[in-house]
Amino acid sequence: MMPERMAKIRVVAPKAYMNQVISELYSLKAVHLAEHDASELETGNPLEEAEKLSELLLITKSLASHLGIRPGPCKSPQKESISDIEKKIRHIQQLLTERLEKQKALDEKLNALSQAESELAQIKGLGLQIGAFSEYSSISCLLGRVKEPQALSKKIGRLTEKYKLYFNAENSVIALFIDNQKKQDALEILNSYDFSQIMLTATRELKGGVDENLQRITAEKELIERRRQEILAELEGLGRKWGELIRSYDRTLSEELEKAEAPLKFGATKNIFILSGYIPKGSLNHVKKRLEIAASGKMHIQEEEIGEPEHVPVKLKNVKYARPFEFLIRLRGLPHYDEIDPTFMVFLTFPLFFGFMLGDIGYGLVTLAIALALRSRMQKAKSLLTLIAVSAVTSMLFGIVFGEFFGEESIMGWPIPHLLSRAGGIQSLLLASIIFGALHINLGLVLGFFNELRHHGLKSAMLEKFSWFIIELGAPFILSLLGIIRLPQHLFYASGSALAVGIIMLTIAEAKIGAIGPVKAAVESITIFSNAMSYARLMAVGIASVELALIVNEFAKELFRQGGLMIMAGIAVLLIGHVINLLLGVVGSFLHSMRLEYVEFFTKFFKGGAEPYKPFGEKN
Amino acid sequence: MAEIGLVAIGAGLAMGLSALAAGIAEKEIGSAAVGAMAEKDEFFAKGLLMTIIPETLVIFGLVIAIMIIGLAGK
Repeated sequence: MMPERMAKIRVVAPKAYMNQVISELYSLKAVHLAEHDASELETGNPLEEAEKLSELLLITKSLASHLGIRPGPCKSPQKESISDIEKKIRHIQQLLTERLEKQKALDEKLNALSQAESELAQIKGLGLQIGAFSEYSSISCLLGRVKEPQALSKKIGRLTEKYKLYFNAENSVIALFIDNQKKQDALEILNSYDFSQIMLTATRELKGGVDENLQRITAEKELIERRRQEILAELEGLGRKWGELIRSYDRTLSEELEKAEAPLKFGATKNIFILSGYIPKGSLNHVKKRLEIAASGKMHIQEEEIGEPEHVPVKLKNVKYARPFEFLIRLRGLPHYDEIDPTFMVFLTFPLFFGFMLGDIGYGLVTLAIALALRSRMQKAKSLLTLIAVSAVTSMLFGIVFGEFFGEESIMGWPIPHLLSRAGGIQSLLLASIIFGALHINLGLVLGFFNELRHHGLKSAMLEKFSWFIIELGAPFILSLLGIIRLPQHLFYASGSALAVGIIMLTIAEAKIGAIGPVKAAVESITIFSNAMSYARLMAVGIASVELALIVNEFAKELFRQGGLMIMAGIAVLLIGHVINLLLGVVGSFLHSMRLEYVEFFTKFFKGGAEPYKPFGEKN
Repeated sequence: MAEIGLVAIGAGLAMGLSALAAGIAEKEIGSAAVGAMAEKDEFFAKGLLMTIIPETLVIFGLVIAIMIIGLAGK
């Protein structure tokens, strides 16, 4: 019920053995290095090769991204020296750079050609040679687009006779050659026709007719495109040839860099270095022995007091079956070293809540099948899927209790025996939910009591946690005030005074936060009842899921009754309806169970947010 | 008969209004939570948790609705 017990060690050794000690620590994968306190001793410097390693790692990563090599597991880690790796990497880098430069040059050429092509396409229909657009001394050329080019000629004609207008009616491009002196006036007329000028840049140097140039450009582009494809294929070939190697280099270099940067967590003087770290108690002796061998006995290992529990890295320790449920704890934040690890409680209650809400033999079977099928395929989500599979089993069990199969309480007209009917007995279901809730909350309070007892002693535990049990004795008082139950007079007063005593105890506990304390206590004392009511969701989510399933079934039955093609429609309705309902049911049940754990249960005892135990050398 | 109608309307109001209130509350929390998650993945659990907290309102609404319907039976 507590996280793994840890030991804190401090190691002092001569710097001459630093490399060996780091390598040994790395392969042990057992010591969680603590950050060095710089006020004690100066922080150590990274090993000499750190700079080189990080440069090489950077190049490797850029090679991988250029060659489209995805990070992944590598079959055989390379056992080459760093200088050999560097030689290879530089070689591959050169091969890559050559091709990338060629590719860039081709891209630039292609861009220029495309530009020329689009310009030529615009002046194509005018019937002019390219040479016609060169500079003249006394004539200006205005090239561009206007709307209604046909009407333009008359307007310009009124201005001067010394002009020549070419236009292409299809794309509204015009070329107006006009006397230099009349250029401004002509521009004004053009502007009234929404003139937008076309600048010729890429075509300036070309000679000859428009069409022949277009043909030539098309041919050239094709050629360049072919060269580009060749280079892309070469790059792909490089990726195939070196991919595995680069991946293994990436891994080797990352590892070496991690080792080289380890001294940043050490303290150091001129001749020695000091490191401190946390080890699970069980492996302490083994680690000690291995380290001493690595430093040829020239080191001092001292076991220290664990110190502040907040700084101890936390490794959860649970029985095998409960382990997938650590997922939910990690999501919320690990318990501190001196807190109770609630994994086992969650393992006991979460599937119960989930099952109570989904509670259907059919839905449980389908969910179980899907979770098991995905589990072997998705390594990353394995614990989540295991968790859902376990919950699916409890759903089936509750399905038997409720006698439900895809919402129906009978199969083929045969009624399924049941203990409790969800479609019929809302009141009893509500009662069952609240009883579940009361048990769960009290379990939380018991855990909270022990946590508080350990941290702040008996008095504080009594005032802050035990007071809640006394407040609970006030429940009959409140219920009879609301007129839900009727109490004999002496019980009514006894229950009422228990409530008052509980609130007073809580008030004393909260008094340390000042005048607001008593107000907080009074308001908070009610939350325990609203918390219990919150478990009504167990009933609510369940009934929503049953009713939806029944609606789908009724709808499909109606279609089946009509016969013919409608039977197909009925099957479709059944499929789609139940898939949607199952999805809603699983997601809803999961979230609500999670909420009950986090909000109603954890708040009674759990703080969380500890640093996870991550031994030096272990991969994520 | 008229009274049963009123009871039904009362139950419906208890359910509908509390659902509306939960929706309004979740809108605000949800957008803030998604913002926080975009910044930092670790907020996922907390964000989810905060977002579904107002759902209790609907549960209370439902309980009240059931109690009102219970009245009709008396």
